[in-house]
Order: sequence, then C-alpha cells, then structure tokens
Amino acid sequence: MPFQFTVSDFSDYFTITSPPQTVANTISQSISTSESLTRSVRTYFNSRNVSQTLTLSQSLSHSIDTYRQARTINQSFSTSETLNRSVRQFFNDFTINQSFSLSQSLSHSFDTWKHTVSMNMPLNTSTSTPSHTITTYRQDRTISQGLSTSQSLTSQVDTFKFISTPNHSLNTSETLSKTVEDWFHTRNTSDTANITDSFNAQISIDNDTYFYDNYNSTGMTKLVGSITGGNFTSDSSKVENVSSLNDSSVDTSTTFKSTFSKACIVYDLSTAQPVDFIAIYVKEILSDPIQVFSSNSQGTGYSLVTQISGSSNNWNITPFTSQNIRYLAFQMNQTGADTLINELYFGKSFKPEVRYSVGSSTSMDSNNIINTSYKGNEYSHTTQETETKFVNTYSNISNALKLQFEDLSNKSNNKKLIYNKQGIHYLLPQPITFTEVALNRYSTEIVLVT
Amino acid sequence: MASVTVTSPTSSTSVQAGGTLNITWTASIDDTSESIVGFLIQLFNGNSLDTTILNTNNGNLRSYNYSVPSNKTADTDYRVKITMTVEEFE
Repeated sequence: MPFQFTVSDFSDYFTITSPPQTVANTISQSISTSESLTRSVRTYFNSRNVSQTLTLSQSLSHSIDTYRQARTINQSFSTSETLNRSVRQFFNDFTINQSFSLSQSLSHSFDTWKHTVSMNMPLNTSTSTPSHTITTYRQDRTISQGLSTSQSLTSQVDTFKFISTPNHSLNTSETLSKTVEDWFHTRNTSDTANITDSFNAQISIDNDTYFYDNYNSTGMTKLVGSITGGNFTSDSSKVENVSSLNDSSVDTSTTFKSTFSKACIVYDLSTAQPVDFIAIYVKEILSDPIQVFSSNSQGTGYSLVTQISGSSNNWNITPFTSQNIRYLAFQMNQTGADTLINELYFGKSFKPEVRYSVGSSTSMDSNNIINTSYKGNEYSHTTQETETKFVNTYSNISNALKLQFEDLSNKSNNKKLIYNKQGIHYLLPQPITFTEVALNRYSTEIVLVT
Repeated sequence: MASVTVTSPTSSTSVQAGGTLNITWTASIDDTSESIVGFLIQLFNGNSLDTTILNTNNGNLRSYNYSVPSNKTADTDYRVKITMTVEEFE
C-alpha cells in the first residue's frame, strides 16, 4: 500500500511595499501667487480649471518653458509683467471668447510668441517688435479670425504665420529679411492669399508623406502565372518563394524564373481599394522594369498601370495617380537571368493634414556603449551601425488624423515604412502613442529611424 | 530522499501591493519509488500564517504568479512556505 508524507521549505524574508498614492485634482480651485522665481521652470502656470481667475504680479528673471498655459473657459487675463529671459511660449491659450490686451515688452529669444487655439478671438497687438530669434511668430488655429499685421521682423523665425482655419483670408505687407522655413502655412478650404511681400531669403517646406503597407499585402491571396493580351494564365512554377516578397525582411528574395518569357504575381485586394504607390526593395539593380497591371476581374481585363525601375540597391518608390484596384499584378519580361526582388508593397500614401510641429528633431544615434577599464580609461564600442533618428512632433491633431496615425502604427510597427523626407527611408521602431491635449485634440510623436 | 526548495522570492525581492509576486521552487524525489501528489503554497508574515496562496494537485507545477492584494500591509518580514506532498510505493 502506498503512503503519503510531506516535506516543506521556507523562502527568505522578502518585502511587500505600499502602492503609490494618488492625488485628486479639484475643480473651482483658486490660485493666488506672489512668488518670485529665480530659477528655470518648465511650466510657470498650468491651469485647467473652470472660471478661474489669475492675478499675477511676479517678476521672472530666468528661463522657463511655458510662461502661461491656460485651458479654461471665460477666463480673463490682466498682465503687466516684464520678461527679460528666454521662454519657450509666452502665451499658450486654448480658450473660447477670450480677449487679449498686451503691453509687454519682450527682449529675449522665445519659441512661440502667441499660440491661440480659440474661436472668434480678436487679436489686438501693439507689442513692441521682438528683437531676437523666435521659432514661431504667430500660430493660430481659429475660426473666422482676422489678422492685421504691420510688424517688421529683423530676425530669423521658423514659421511666420501658421493658420489652420476654414475661409480665412490673408492680407500681408510684411517685409522679411531673414531665412524662414515656412512663411505661410495654410491648409484651409477656400483660402485666399494675397501677398505683396518682399522676400530675399530662402524658405523650405519638407515633403511630409508616409508610405506603408496599409492593405496588409502579407495576408492577401496571391496567384502566380503570366499576363498576355490582358488575360491571366495561372502557372505556379513561374515564381519561387512568393512569401518572401512580403515577409518584412530584405534579406530574403522572391525569384521570377528566367526559363519563362513572362512571370507575374497577382495580388487580390478582396475589394477595389485606392492605390497610389508601389515600393520595392532590390539588392540587384533590375535589368528591365517591372510591369504593373490592374483589373477588376481575376482572369481578364488587365491594363498597364505603370512600370517600376529598380534602379538602386535600396527602396524604390513609384507613385502614380490613385486608382481603385481589385487585382494588382507585377510581371517581369525575362531576358535570360532570374529576377530577384527582396520586398514589395503598395497602398495609399498618407500625407497628414498638418505639418509636424516646431521642436521636431533629427539626431544621429551611434549605438555606442562605453566600458571603463580597471585603470579608469573609457573605451567606446559601436554595437550597431549609426542610425538617423527623426522625431516628428504633432502637437495638436484632430481625431480623424489620430485614427490615420493609429492605422499607420498598427500596420507598420517594426515593419517596413517609408517616410519620404530628403530621399531617405525610415522604419517605425515603436508603436505611436497619443495624449489628449483638448477635447478630441491629441498630440503625438512619430519616431523614425533609418 | 524527497525535498522541496523555494528559489524565489529571495531576500532581495520587493513587490508592491497590487503587483505580482513570482514564486518558483525545485523538487526532487526518488523516481523509482515516489511520486509528487501536489503542493501547498502559504504566505507567512513573521511566524504567523497570513494566507494560503495555492493548494494544487498538479505535481508538475514549479512556479506560480501570486497577485498581491492592493490592501496588503507593507512589511519586510514576509515569507513563502511550500509544502510538497509525496506518495511512496512499497
């Protein structure tokens, strides 16, 4: 008969700690401040209350990131401060029906002078002209707002006017004598620009377009064969390693066999979808272009859409006028040698309705690690190739644009993504996250690496 | 000779109330005459039994994630006791 017995053991003593404490924010809180600041702060006032009154008499003598950031309703401001140091933003207001009356004198650099995101707000400015570098002079996202400007700028600015309003008219007579990146940035419907200014410096606007696999080419049904006279004939032996074409790896390739005069792959998009670009990655430059056909029927009616040249050992993007396509075919006309294509995808390119914000950055990550010897000498080791890293900040985007970025993030995270900036191609190494900055308005950062 | 040894938590373990405590252990028996019937995992505070974490008949189990209640009192004297029940054939 079996019998049972027990043995046991205790662990070491260990610790259980208390959970973090939470603090509740309250409504109807009043703030009365009379501090004098002598050090840098990131935000001086950050108020998100209803019906709050701010009375200020402080004197600031050091750099701050934001002087006032108010997201309130029916709030009045009375200001008479003097600033004599750099600030990133002097006023940042997200209010309704708020009026401004300003008489400050600014004598140092700052990033944004006025950032207003309000409705029906009049601007009445008699401020003395900024005498130092600023990144954005005016950034307005308002409805039915009139601008009347007569300032003279003598220093560099990044954006002179940035407006994202409907039915907005511009009437400008400024003279700019320094470089700006973006002089007028308008993304409106029925917007009229009447410009008589004199320019004597360079401006540039980046091409801000994302190309990604937004229809999931990996999961599509693919047919192999050839197209002659607009008709498709199936023959699975004409192309080998079909899955390598959409495996998110440029190290594996698909082979279009040279033993056949024509070899093609047909993608079934399930329904007709708008397509306006094709991207391929080849390690060997193609001797002949790839012919691209489309049809709304699997077996017949194929017509030529465009031809793709794999002209470099890299990503090659071919844009074309958007077409609704159900069946998309890529065919090689062989000339003696097998054709190898490492990656291929296509879709509808995505150009955000707003440009990324000032403060977006470019950096080089050398992927170095530092080790220290016993004698204290430091040695640097490069663990990977140097990466170019772009951080595109979108500080205030709509819910519709957020959904488009989420689609991009869901389908491109750690997968192939081409961002068309200065001809360089990028990958999205981490999911995109969002912060709600106002009702149905969001901010986000798009991190891209080479 | 059957034996059980708790390998985690250790003296360096610190877990927040509301968090997860990873419990691991090893067990050895004489395969020719013994088999493991199950394990009883208990939480002690000092020498006092605080709570029974798990009582299982799964003799193959060697780890368990315990969700520490968020209202568990913070202390440095917690221990885990694992009791293994073994069946011996004559």
